[in-house]
This record gives sequence, structure tokens and C-alpha cells, in this order.
Amino acid sequence: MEKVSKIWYVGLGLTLVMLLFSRLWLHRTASEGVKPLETFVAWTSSRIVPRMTALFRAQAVIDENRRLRDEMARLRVDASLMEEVAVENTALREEAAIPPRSRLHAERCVVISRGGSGGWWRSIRLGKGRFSGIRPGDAVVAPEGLVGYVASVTDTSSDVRLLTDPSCRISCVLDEAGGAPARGILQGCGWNSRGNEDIAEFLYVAEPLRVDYLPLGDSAERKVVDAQIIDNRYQITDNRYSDTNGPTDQRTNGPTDQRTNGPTDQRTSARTLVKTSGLSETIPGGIMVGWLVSEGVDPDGLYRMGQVLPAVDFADLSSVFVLTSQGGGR
Amino acid sequence: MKLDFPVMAAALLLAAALQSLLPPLHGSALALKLPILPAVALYYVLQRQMPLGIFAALWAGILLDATGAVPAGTSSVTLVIVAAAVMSLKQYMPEASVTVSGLVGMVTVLLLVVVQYCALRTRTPFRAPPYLILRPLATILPLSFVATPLIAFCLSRIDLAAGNVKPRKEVEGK
Repeated sequence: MEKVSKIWYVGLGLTLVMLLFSRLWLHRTASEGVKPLETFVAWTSSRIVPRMTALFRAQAVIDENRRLRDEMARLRVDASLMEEVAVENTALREEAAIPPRSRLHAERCVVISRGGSGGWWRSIRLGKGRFSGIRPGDAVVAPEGLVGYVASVTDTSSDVRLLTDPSCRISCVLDEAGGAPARGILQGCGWNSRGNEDIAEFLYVAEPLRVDYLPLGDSAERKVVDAQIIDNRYQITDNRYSDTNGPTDQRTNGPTDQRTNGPTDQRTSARTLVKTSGLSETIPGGIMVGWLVSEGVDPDGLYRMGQVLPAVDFADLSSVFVLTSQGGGR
Repeated sequence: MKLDFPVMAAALLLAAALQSLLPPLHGSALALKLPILPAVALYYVLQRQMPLGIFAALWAGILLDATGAVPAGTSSVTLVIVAAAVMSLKQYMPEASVTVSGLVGMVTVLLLVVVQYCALRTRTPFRAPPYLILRPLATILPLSFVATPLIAFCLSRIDLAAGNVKPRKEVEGK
């Protein structure tokens, strides 16, 4: 066996001391050490690979370029129209003594890796960090909607917890047209037993609840029952409402509840929009989250719950925007 | 001059980056990655001297914890314990055996996943039920059996080219 230099023992001792006394610093340094390699691969795949492939599909690139120019022109027009709306909004807010909205800066970041080396969390790593004004808790969005929030940040990189991670909980509203929005908490179901990996769960209060339904057989005579649920003594079985304790009422006497079929029923119509509520300090309201795809009542009857299909395709994220209040930082 | 440190540092950093960048092996939830970093550490543990093995295991663990958002110290302590145990048993193992290397790789990864899972459950909001790690484990264990000797082979070639180790015939001739 060859003789080993004493430097190895010194290095080993130093590392152990650092691990004991400044574990987090060591953690951050190791994470930062890997970042250049991750950035290099991300840069290569975003800059070099498209150029190489463009050589073989020039016509498609020209078409895409034209389409993007058209879209940019349309967005410019939209932006100029929005400016006027913003001025009007500011004036109205001043008149109504409502504090102005906080101005957020959208920092574009490249996704440099997914899931980390362990793959335990549903997360992505971004190529920008504290130096760009990013702080923990900042909202991360894509053009389609909310992606998640910044869980931890270093000087030049940040880890984003995705919406579908079970530890991610965000206050949201069901954006019902013509109805009072229901507020609730959205939670990821990244590893639920049903295997719906990209479905998030939405919990929201049972009241007020409005039930509109159509009697079977005669769609012309639309019967509307407004049921203000004042207690939770109900359950859903086979798409029917039935009162479990109280006396039989209209809900059980009436024809089959068409909440899942009725076109006018906003609450249960497929694709009811779910948006952020704005109750959080760092996640502004009105950001698209996804669509409600199914709903039900929890076994205790305390709240309603539904499954939400995220608007963002998490497998196809190459760059995202972090909404920072710092305005770009350094 | 020996190039042990540059080769080890490059191997560990590249392995960490590769492990982070590689797509998950199994679905997208609880998608454990191909265990490249433990395989690099095990090469040094099985085929090099004691301080190098422990040093590589320690840093592989630090990198695993840092890039995998696992509580700091979890993987490093586990890998150092594994390294110490393997080194104490090394005299009973056939040298440069692919099967032994693969088996050690499998046991290490199994231990690492279990310890990481326990640390995540107790020290973070991670709440995946234990049975859900069985399926990803079934995928990565056979892969680690293959990856450990393969990575060891590549690293031994690099070490040989860098002059960090002498060819086996030369050592036996002496």
C-alpha cells in the first residue's frame, strides 16, 4: 500500500470540524460549488443545442420567429392598453383610499436542475439568487400560471418548491363566474396514494354553498334551488346530495343532482378556475393556478375538497419568472 | 506530483452535477436519482487508502445533502460510517471484485435512502408514507449494483492515467 500524504489527514480533520461547527455554511458552499456545472449544462442546452438543431430545421425556425413577432406586437398593444387601465386604477384607489398595489419585479431565471440530487422533493433550481433580489417565499410564475415559491436561496441560486409538492400550501380562491369566490388552501399531492402526481388538492369551506340543478327529462323547466348550507350534515353519494341527519329536504326529494352534468352549475363545472387569493405577503392575488377537476366533501363534513389540475406543465419548465419586491437587485 | 486531490474533486463535483441534472428514474414524485455520488465515494473506499476513502465519503455526503435538500450532515455521517465499516472489512473482501463492489453499492444506497428518508420525515415537512419509497428503491438498487463497479472502473482508469496509482502488474512485480 502506498504511503498517504499527511495533507489528507489535515483536510479530513478540517472538513469534520467545519461539519461540526458550520454545517450550514459547508452546505451552502457545496451547493454553490456544483452550480457552475449545472449552469454550464443549462446554458449549453438553452443556447448551443437550439442553434445546432436550428441548422436542420430552418423553415420551422423562420415560422416560429414570425409567430413570436406577431405575438410580441399583440402583447405590446395589450400593454399600452393596460397602462391606461393602471392609471385609472391608481386614481380610483386614491379616491377610495385603498393603498396602492405593491410593485413586483419579474426576474427571469433559467431552470438549472430538477429535483436536486436526491429526488425527494418536487423542486427546481434556478440560476439566480440573493444577488438578483430573490428572497425566500417569493412567488415563481410561468406564462401559464403559478409554479411555486422560493424555498431557499443562496447568493447565486435558489430552490423553488413546486405547487405539486405536498409541503407546499398556498391560499387560493375558486374563481366562480357570478358567484362569491370560495377561499381555500391548495396543497400538492406529489406522492398521494392515488398516484395522481400532478394533481393538487384544494380545501375550502363549505359555506356559503349554492346548488343549481336541472330536473332530469325536462331541460326547459329549469329548477333552481339555492341551498344555503348552514351545517355540514350532508354527504355526496353517487353524485346525489342526501341529508344524513336532518329530515328529507328538497335536495333528496328532487331529481338526481346534476352538479357534475349541469352546464349552469358553476361550482362543479369542470375547469372552474383556481387563482391565488393574494392573502400571502409575497404571492400576489389573481395568478392562475389551475382548474378544479373534481370535488367532494371530506369524511368529517367540515370542508369541501377538490382536485386541481395545475395550469403549468412542470415537466416542461426551462425558464420561469420570480416575482421579487426587490426590483432586480444587483 | 500526485493528482489525487484534483481528480477526486473533479469526480465528486461532476458526479454531483450529473446526479442533479439527470432526469428522475421513476415517475416524477419521489423520483430517486441514479446514485453516482455514492459510487464515486465507494471507489475511493474500496480501492484507495483509508484517508482518501473517508475524505471522499465525507464530501460525497456533503454534496448529496447540499444538492438534494436533505438535512445537513445526514448523508455525510452515513457515508463516513459505511466507509469505516467497509474499510475494516476490506481485508476479507476479494480485491477488485465487480460483484463485491456492486453489492457494497447496493447496501450503501439502501442505507442512505433509509437514513435520508428518516431524516426528512423527522426534520422537515416531508411526509411521504414509507411504502412509497419501495418502488423507487426497486429501481435504483439494481442500478447501483451496475453503476458502482462501472464508475469504479472509469475512475481507476483516470487515476492510472493521472499517475495516482501504479499498474497492477508493476505492483505485483515488486
